[in-house]
Amino acid sequence: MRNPVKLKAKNKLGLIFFPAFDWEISPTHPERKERLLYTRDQVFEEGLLDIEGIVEYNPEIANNKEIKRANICVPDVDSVATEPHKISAGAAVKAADLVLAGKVDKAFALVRPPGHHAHRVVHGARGFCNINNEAIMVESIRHKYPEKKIAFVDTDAHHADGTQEIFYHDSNVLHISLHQDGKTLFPGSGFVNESGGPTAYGKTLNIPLPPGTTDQGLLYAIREFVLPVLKDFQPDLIINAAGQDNHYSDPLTNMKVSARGYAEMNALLDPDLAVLQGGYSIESALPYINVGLILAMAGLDYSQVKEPDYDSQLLRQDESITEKIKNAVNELKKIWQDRDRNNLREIYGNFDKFYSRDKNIFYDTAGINESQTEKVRICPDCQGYLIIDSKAGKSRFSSNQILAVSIPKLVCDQCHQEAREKFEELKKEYQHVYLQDLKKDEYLRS
Amino acid sequence: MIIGIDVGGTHTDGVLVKKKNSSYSIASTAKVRTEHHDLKSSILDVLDKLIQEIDQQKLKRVVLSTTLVTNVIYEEKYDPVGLILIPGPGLNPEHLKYGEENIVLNGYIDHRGKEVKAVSTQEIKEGLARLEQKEIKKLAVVGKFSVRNPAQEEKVKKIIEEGDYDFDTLTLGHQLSGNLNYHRRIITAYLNTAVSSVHHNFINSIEESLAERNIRGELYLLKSDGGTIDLNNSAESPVETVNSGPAASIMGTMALNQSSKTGIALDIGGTTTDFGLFIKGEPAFKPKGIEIAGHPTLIRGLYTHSIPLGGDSKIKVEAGELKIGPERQGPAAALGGPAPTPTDALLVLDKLKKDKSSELKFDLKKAKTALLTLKEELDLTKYSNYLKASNTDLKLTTLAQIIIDQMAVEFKKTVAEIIAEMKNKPVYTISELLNDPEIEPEYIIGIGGPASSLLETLASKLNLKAEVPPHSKVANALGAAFSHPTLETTVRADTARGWLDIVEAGVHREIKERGFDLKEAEKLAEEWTLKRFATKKYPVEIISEESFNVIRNYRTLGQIMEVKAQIKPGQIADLKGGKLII
Repeated sequence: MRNPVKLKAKNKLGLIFFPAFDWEISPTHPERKERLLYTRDQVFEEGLLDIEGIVEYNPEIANNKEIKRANICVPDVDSVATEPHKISAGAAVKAADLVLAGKVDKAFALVRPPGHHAHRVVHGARGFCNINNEAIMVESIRHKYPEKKIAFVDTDAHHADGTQEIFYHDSNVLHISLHQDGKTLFPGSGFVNESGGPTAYGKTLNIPLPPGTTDQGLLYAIREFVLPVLKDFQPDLIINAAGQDNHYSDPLTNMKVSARGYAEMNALLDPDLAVLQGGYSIESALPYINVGLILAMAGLDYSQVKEPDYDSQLLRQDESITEKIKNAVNELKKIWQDRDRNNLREIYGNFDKFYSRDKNIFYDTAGINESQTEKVRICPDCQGYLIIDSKAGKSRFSSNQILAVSIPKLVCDQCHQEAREKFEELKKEYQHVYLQDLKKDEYLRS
Repeated sequence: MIIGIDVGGTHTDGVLVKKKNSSYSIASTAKVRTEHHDLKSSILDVLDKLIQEIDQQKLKRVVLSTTLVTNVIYEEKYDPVGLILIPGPGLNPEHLKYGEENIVLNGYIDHRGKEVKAVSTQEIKEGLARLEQKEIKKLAVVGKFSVRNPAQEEKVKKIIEEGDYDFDTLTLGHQLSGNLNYHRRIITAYLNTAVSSVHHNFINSIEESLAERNIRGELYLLKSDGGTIDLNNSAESPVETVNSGPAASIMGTMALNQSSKTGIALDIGGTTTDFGLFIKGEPAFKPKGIEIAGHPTLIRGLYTHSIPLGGDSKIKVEAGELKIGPERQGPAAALGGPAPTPTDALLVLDKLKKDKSSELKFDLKKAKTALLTLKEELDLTKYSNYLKASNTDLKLTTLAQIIIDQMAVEFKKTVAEIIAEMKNKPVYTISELLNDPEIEPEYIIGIGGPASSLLETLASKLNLKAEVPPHSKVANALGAAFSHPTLETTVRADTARGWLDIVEAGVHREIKERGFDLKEAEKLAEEWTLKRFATKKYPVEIISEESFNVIRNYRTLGQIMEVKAQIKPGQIADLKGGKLII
């Protein structure tokens, strides 16, 4: 027998592959049992799991405390998240643990359901997401290592609104989302001007891509903007929220990215962690994208991964699209260069002790409308705390109001005390008041 | 009467079993030294010893567990093999070129078995011409996803059959296993082709030899999954008979033990110890297929785990600490060997239970002298819990005890690793993840020379019940003698595409049945298992099944289902309740 050179991963990769073959939202829902069936077949047949340096792990099940660090579930965790959600979140946490413990160089949680549409306050399912797996992962990392600087690059075709909003006022988290222009796709957000709160200006960056964007446009944005920004930010960890619905065959979106484009993007980003998000071309795209991503993360040759119907001619990008992406990137570059500006009132208007925003959040999966006012305490010594007033319901008449005080781990003593007092005050006034105290690791509900 | 013969690395053992009423008894055993370059003669020597005083006509069954195929693979004693690969896109195929010659054809079957790109006849013919030019006679054709659609592999075969070619061996990848894994399929197909002619010559000459001896009983070979295969049928996929030694040992343990509980089987040899695992009485399998000579394959095999630690492992002192193994330098010092070994420690402790039939003469003095050499370099502070407060000198028996304890600790660690490996096996459903498999061993059973002497210490360290069955020295031959055939059948139906595949049975056809469902697939899996098996003696069980909808635009187009059925490894007779008299 000849001895061909054995494949060996350049980066030791932990793969948490958990397709949850016995769970679905409904039999015809995109998030159904067979979503990762064809991916399994492709990964198994390619023999990826036999490659030295690619190690498979089972997920853990996230416990309620881990979930509460990121999400305020109304009325409680178990009403919002069932076992499948906790397993998906637990897989993300496990991926981070593997990397931080040095057991692997990188980890990929190839799991479902996704999480990036779940905001901090959760009243139900949204965009197939219930709890925010990635945010739970980050808070679990920072529970042990509070100072870690983290960069997200979310490459799902849908704007990662949930993750963005959770970290909107957090200057230690850089959240970059590349997605199909919100004017043309759920959730309808993710525009260039959403650039973080006044205490974290420029730490939220959105790159809306026009429908029809191909590998060329996506990789341009990565090379021209994302990579230099990452270099400036110097994160301790890079997380790729690896949605796969920019693919040209995806039934829910209008993008034209190929499996190889995805693999190349991943190789350029060189993330420490990847977590699967959406992607519903389960037969024509996911098997190839996932093989590509696994190879890219392991540092192996992905150049011969190709969809059966791949045709480079069909994936040519229109000039007008290229132009639009260039414009967005130029605008974003200005924001990034200007991220330490002092004249924040020019952007945010007048604010004093608190900066306040109103949000309307539509839960497409659960059919809930939420209106929310979020106030962030502006503090020169820390990132402040949040006071959230949220009303949600399926109709105006059955709406449910909750108030919440959310205290980050890196809060100053004064803000911490102030926030705890606020919680006590609110309890006297309102029926449903939540406390999310990451500093004390304490989560209360009146 | 039944004969089981096991060709081992050092000795070839045989056992003759007689049946009386519903009980079996060992009538005689035989042992010869294994002649590595003439396994047949070793087998026949043992056979002749066993049949000396019996009527050959009454011999109903002969089962051989041989190292033939294993040796051929390890020693690479085979002719060059040409691989014809149809990898399609995906992983770079450079790392798949195991053949002495490799032809890579442009074809593409996708994960559902759709032919995305056909292979051209011209290209196949050019490839074959190149192989002929290089004087390759042995071929394997392996396509990615060929288990989902074997058409491209079959096309190459057809061209070879219809053309004027001089190839003598051909393996098609899809016929070897219903499981996915292109890399393993290539290695398995390569090895199957490589061992084919040696195997062929072997079974022919064995058949002849048995005919000369007027033996007309059934003839079987043992496979790595602990099942037997009819001698003639083994010609199709000879590679399945690789690694039958460890399987024989596990099946022998099963025959001798007859437990329906979860336990660990140990075969303690001179250089290595092999671990096996019974889960609720059933031997466990290697999940993806066994490894041979460091290569992963798709060959179904019993779970075994080998560690380089045995009765003759060399003991030395490194940085003040005892180290046992991994190398063996010779027999125990007590038998004139060059270094102290665990066997010497057992002798010093007077724990060496000697076999009555053994002619070995142990010299206690030599054992003691050898152990003494270790004492000098030993850092006693590391073993202070073995020393009594008043005494700073280490007694020789205490040193021997340290050695045996240390060995037990190694075994304990390995057992824990095996259990962890089984428990952490990747799962893909929520119900499997939530319901941890119950793998709690209750006993440990040992065969092999030092087993009886070591097992009690080991079992007490592990908090398990120790079992050392009598006659464990012929366990492997007994395992062969009693094992019945095994079989696996994979039915895969894609009703949306309208195709059905049963690769093990060579079925690839359109689904014409209306309303084909999982029940139907189960029925086919059972039917085909029995059909291939020819007799209805052993129960067929469904071992796995899955069924998924194929949905386009919110409409259900059909289902993809896969059902696996097997006849699991087991014994030809119920041996429970002391029916095996030894």
